[in-house]
Order: sequence, then C-alpha cells, then structure tokens
Amino acid sequence: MGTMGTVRIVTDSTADLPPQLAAELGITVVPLQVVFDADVYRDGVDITSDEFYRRLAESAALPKTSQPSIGAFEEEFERLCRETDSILSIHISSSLSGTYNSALLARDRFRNRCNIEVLDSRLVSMGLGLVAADCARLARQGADLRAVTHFAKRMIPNVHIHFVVETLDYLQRGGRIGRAQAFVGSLLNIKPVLKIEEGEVRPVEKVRSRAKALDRLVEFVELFPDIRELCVIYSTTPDDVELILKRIEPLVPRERILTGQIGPVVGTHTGPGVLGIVVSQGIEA
Amino acid sequence: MSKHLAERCDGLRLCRGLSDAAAWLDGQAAEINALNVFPVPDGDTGTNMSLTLQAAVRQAIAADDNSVAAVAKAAAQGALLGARGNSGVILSQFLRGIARSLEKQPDCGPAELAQALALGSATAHKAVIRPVEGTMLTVGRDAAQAALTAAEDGADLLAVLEAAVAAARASVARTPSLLPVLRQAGVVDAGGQGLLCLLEGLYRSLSGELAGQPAPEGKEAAAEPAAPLQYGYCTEFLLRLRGRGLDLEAIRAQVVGMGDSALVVGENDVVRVHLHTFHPGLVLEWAGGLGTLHQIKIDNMQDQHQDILLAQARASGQSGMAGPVEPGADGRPPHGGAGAAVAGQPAMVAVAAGEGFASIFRSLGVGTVVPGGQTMNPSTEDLLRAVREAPARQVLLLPNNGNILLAARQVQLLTDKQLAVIPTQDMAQGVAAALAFQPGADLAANARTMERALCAVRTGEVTAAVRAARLDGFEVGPGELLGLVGGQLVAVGGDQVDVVRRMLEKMGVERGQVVTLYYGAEVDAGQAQSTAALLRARLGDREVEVVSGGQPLYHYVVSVE
Repeated sequence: MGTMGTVRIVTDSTADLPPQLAAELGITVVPLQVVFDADVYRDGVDITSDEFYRRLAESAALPKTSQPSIGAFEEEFERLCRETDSILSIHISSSLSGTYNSALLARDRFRNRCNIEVLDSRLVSMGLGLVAADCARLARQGADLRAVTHFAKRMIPNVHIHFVVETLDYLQRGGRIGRAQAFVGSLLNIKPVLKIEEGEVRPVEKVRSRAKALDRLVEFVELFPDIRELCVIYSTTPDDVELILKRIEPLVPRERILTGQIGPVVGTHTGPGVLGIVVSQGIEA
Repeated sequence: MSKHLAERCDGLRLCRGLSDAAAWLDGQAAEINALNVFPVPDGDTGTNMSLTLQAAVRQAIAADDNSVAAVAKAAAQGALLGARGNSGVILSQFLRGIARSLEKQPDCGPAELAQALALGSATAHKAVIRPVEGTMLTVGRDAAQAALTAAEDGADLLAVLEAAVAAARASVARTPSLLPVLRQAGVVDAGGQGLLCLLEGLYRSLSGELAGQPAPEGKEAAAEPAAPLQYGYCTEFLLRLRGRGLDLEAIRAQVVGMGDSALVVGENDVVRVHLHTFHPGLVLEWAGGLGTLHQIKIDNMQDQHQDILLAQARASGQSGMAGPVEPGADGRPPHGGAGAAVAGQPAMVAVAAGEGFASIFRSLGVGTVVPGGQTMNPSTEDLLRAVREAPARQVLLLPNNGNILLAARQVQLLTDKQLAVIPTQDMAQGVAAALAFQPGADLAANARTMERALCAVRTGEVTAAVRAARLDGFEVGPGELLGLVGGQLVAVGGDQVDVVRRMLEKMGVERGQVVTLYYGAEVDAGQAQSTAALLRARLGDREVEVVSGGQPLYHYVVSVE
C-alpha cells in the first residue's frame, strides 16, 4: 500500500499532544487561539505552555479562547488531500468547543476529492490525544479509513478522565463548568475532583485537601483492572506529577505511562494547579 | 391522706394527672438539666422531657372522648411528634406502650395501671438499640415491677402508683452504682430523674396533693383548648423585584432574621421565599416594599400539626398506635402533598445551630436547615416537617447531634418519603457528610458515601465548665475551658489556644491534613483568627481553616480530616 492510501490523522491543539509525538506519528494539529486582551496567539505555535501560565499568573483579566476558523481546517485538508485520499479529523468534545463544527463545515469543500471523516471525541486534552495517537499508529499499520474510524469509536468510550482543579473559577468564567456548577459556592476551602463524562465536565467529589484529591486520583486508577495506556496531565505542578507517578508505579507498567502538560487553550478553562489522569482501557484491536 | 379518687381513674382524671405532672416536671426541669454528667452548658434532659410531656398534654386535652384509652392515645401521639432529645423520644415510647396497654379501656384500675407501666417500660426498651442500665430505662422497669407486685397483692390504684414512685426513687438513687460516669460526676441519671418526676407529679395529682388546673367540664371544653400559638405561620411567596440588581445575600440575611426554617432562592429578579414566623404580616410588608408579591401562601402550622395527627390516626386504624403515615387512596400523602417533588435527585435536610453553620450547610446544597436551638433539641415534628417540605421524594437527614438521632429515626416511621438518616454526631461530621453528597447518585449510594465520609472526620469541642467537677482524670474549676472529643474530656485549661492545641493532639492531628476551626457566638472573628495563626505556627504545613460557625455555648468546634 502506497503512502497515497495511508490514512492521515488530524486533531486540534486541545489534545495537548507532546509536539515530538505528534511529529513522530505524522499527526496534523490544528491550533485554537488564546486571546490576552488584544494579543491573539495560536495555541502551541505562537505561545508555549510555560509562557502561557506565566502570563496567566500576571494577567488581571482572564484570557479568552476561540476555535480554529473553517479556513484553517480547509488549509490543512487541502494540504493533506495532495498526499492521501483518506483523512480522519478527530476533535475536542463538541460540548466544550465549536472546533468539531468548524471541521465539519470545512469538509464540505472536499466531498469529491477526498474521504474525510470528522469525529467528535467527547474527550479533551490527552484523552483526545491518546485516541489520535492510537489512530495514527493503526493507520501506519495499513488500516483503511473505515477501520480506523471504527477503532476510534470503540476506543472513545473506554477512555476516562478524572482531574483536580485548584479552583472552579476558570471553568466557571469560561463557561465550561457544566454540572460541576453544583460544587461552586462552598464556604469552605474545597478541592473539586471532576471528570469528563458524555463530553462535558461533571462533578465527582469535593475533598478538603489537595492531598486527599491526589488520593482520589490514585483510587481512580485502581478502578481499572486492565489499563492499556495512562497519561498524567498537569498544568503548573510537575512535582505533583512525580508524587502520582510514584504511587501508581505498582499499578501500571512504566512503559504504558505518559505525562503531558495541559496547553494554553485548555489551561484557560482550568487554570493553574490542575492535575489529572487519563486512563485508556484495553479493547481488542 | 384522704383519697380524692375512686377505685378507677377515668380519662378526665388521667388528663388532669398528666397535665399536673407536666407542670411538676417543668418546675424541676432546670435542676434536671444540671444533672448533666459533663459540666457543660447544654444539659437539656429536663427541658426536653418537659417539652415532650407538654406536647403530650396538649393532645390529651383535645382527645376524642373521656376514656383513658382516648386520652392515653392522644398523649402518646402528642409525645411522638413533640419528642425532643433522646430522653424525649424514650419518654414518648413509654407513653406509647401505656396507650397500647390501655386500648379500648374506658377507665383504669390498679391492675390496668400496673400493666400499662409494664408495657410502657418494655416499649421504651425496644426503642433503644443498646439499652444501658442506670438510665431512664432501669428506673421505668423498676417502677413497673413494683407496680405489678403491688397490684398482685391487691393494692388499690393510688397504692400501686405510690409503690411505683417509691421504686423509681430508689432506682434513681442507685443509678450511680450502675453507670460509672454518673458516680464520677457525682450525679444521678437525668432521664431517670425526669421519669421519677413525671410519676411523682402524677401521683400527687391523683392523690389530691397538687392543685391542678380546673377539671375540664365536658368533652367540648376538652376539645377547645385556648392554647397560644405554638408554631407560627408557614409563609411562602414569590417576590418579583422592582428594579435590577438582585442582592440575594442581603435578602436572605433579612429573611433569616425574621423567623425559622428560612429558604430563599432567587434568579434574575425573582426570589422565592419560605419562612416560619409569628409575624407573616411584617414579612409581607417588608417584601412588598422591594417589589410585587405573587403566589402568597400562609398556613397556620398548628392546624397543619392537627392534620398530621388526624392522618396518623386514620392510618393507624384500630391499633391506637401512631403508625407511619400512609398515602391516601389516590396515592398522594394525606396532608396536601410533599411539595414540588423532583424525581432523581435526593434532597438534604440538616440540623444546625448557629447562622454560620446554617450558611455552610446551605452552601453545600442542604435545602432545609432545621434550627437546633440553644441545645440542639428540635422535636420529631420539626424534623418531620422539614423532611416533608424538602423538594424531593428521597431525603437524606443529618441530625448532627447524638441527642437527635432517635428523633431522626422516628421520622423514618412517620414519613412516606424515602428517608435515609445519616448518623452524624455533630455538625462537623455533618459538614463532611454534606460535602460527600453527589448530585448524580441515588439515595442509597449517597447514604453510603456520606456515612463513609463522616467516619473520616474527628471532632473536638471547646466550651466553658458550668461547675466544678472531676472527670476523666481532670480536676475542673468552674469557668475553665474544656476540650471534649467523642464524649471524653481530653484537655482543661484557661487559654483557648492551649486547650485547642492539646485537644488536637489527642485527636491525632499529626495524621490529618486539614484542621477546621468553627468559631462560635462566644468568640469574635479576630480572636478566632489569632488562635488559628498561633495554631498554624505549631502545626507545620497543615491547613488550618477558620470559619464562622456561630454556634451557641461552644467556643470552638474543631475538625481534623
């Protein structure tokens, strides 16, 4: 099978894919935008994660995010259509962003030229990232578009995300807080443990301390008898990542564990001090 | 002693007897309160038993007819709902047993009285999961046994009662020998003393010693007591604010100051207000000044109370016992309906004392906060009403005090809603339980997670001693600060920070991560903050959170998690 037939994977910057991994797997990442006052930055292109969190700490006003334009997708599809006739474009949950819609609309222009599947992952960050990566690997092995798409749809329900935020402010002000709204307004200092379920943010539990929150994340990992891949995601506290890694070492072989930093766009909506775990359960290929 | 009584006692005499006994007990309530094992300011066994008995008497006066059966049944039902505190609930079970024994009886002679006391004692024992000797249960049993013996020996009614009183007196005197804490504290059991007072009062009334209220002249007179309003008005309305800018907190603060069981919910410019108050007019007047009022509903809660009793009477049929309230023929609860029941999400009801605690519970999603009062002693009916008003068919009830647990469990028998009682012993456990509530989970799942959560909290309380005492190895002087953990005295001293710190050590603070200091009405915010700062210095990197609890009598409630 020639390279013309290899399915190409497209995703967006909310997947928080480490750039080397994306490059290695030939994944095209379409950037969203972060807007600080009048400054517009393409996520992961014009601003790095570290720069973003530094600016976030110094900025009085909250930055805003915006989805890629239809034109940005058209550009990437145009470029890829010269190399292949099969594209799987998989994106952040449509409940959290309009990115999926932009991709859908961009696809229209390519109906007769190229087979493009656009998929709503119902996930975000490395949840989306792990799916994109596994799809890319499968494509490399020669699977066709139907097979890769089918695989993605089976994998998605087996990817689970639990995370802890320092404060619900960012989720609330960015409008993505979903049912976790129920956790707002406590007169006590609480650390919310949250999850992504059915494409949106949902509450898991309120705990009184960061230490307890980390306990909960470890307990979350313990729920799964069969873990294919696990990713620890963080925004500004790499030390906590080390703590978590130590505690899940006995549970998951090291080679199945990745770590990833939450990028500027997702970071705008979750804030500093976030720690999360993405679990990808095993499914038959 | 000249006997004013014939061989048998009818309903009217029994009613007067109970009424006189209530007055007698009320006069001794303060002394009984002081019999608290702990030298702490919230001993309220006397008050609770007195209020419970008064609730019984109010219903007895309104009994259907003049038979002892009707009077005893009414008294038992009144006590059931009016029960406050564990002692009140146990007392209500005594009365329930007595009523069951006197079922269908027009009057009561010596044998019937003895049997009634015996069944009363047996029923009370069943109410307590782990009956303890040296308490009201022992006194009741000893009194009943003496009554049975006297009746067998052919004594008349008054002599049987006299024997019961004498046995009760001796039994109360023996309670310190049965319960080490009583001996240590140098007091007799308060509940036992309360029961003794009740029997004493009954005896003195029936023997003519006490000048009681004038005997009710007839059924009509008995049925229309000129009782002052006991409950107030349940007031609800929708307020459409004039002008923009909804300051919900300001409105809530105002409403809370005007009555009890306040609920204020608002969005945009519409506020829904619910309140129990003696002055609905003043509330409406104030609210009307802020905008327009809609869907106004004012209910006399005394009438509602009567309705509950009526419904129970219907539901329990011939048995004469207060059974669970059954839905009517159309499936709806007999009294009006349980409010806007929302399918799916359980509602939480919590008992709290102190505006700070009430606010915390509300912020954690507790829909109804039942005011605990000075000594955390809401009646069974207060709890039942809150459960009924909760906008869900599934309710989680947090009693937040060991002394409210029995009353809470009574509510389970009285409501047709699915009720789970989370056995929280104090408000800090209540907070942990409320935090663990998960909106998406059902009643059973929430009950499990909430119970697990309260086990992870250790609570300590600081208050000032009301008298000198020797307890748990400490010598306590009046006014000294006491640190109490799980019913045990662990620290005594004059300095707040010192007592709290030592108490925390005993609570195992080294193993915990978060310390929460809820400061009470006795402590001002500045004091609390400086206490917390000094503690932080001692406790390393542990978080010490300072929150206003506003609770009465206890300077601090401290939790470690």
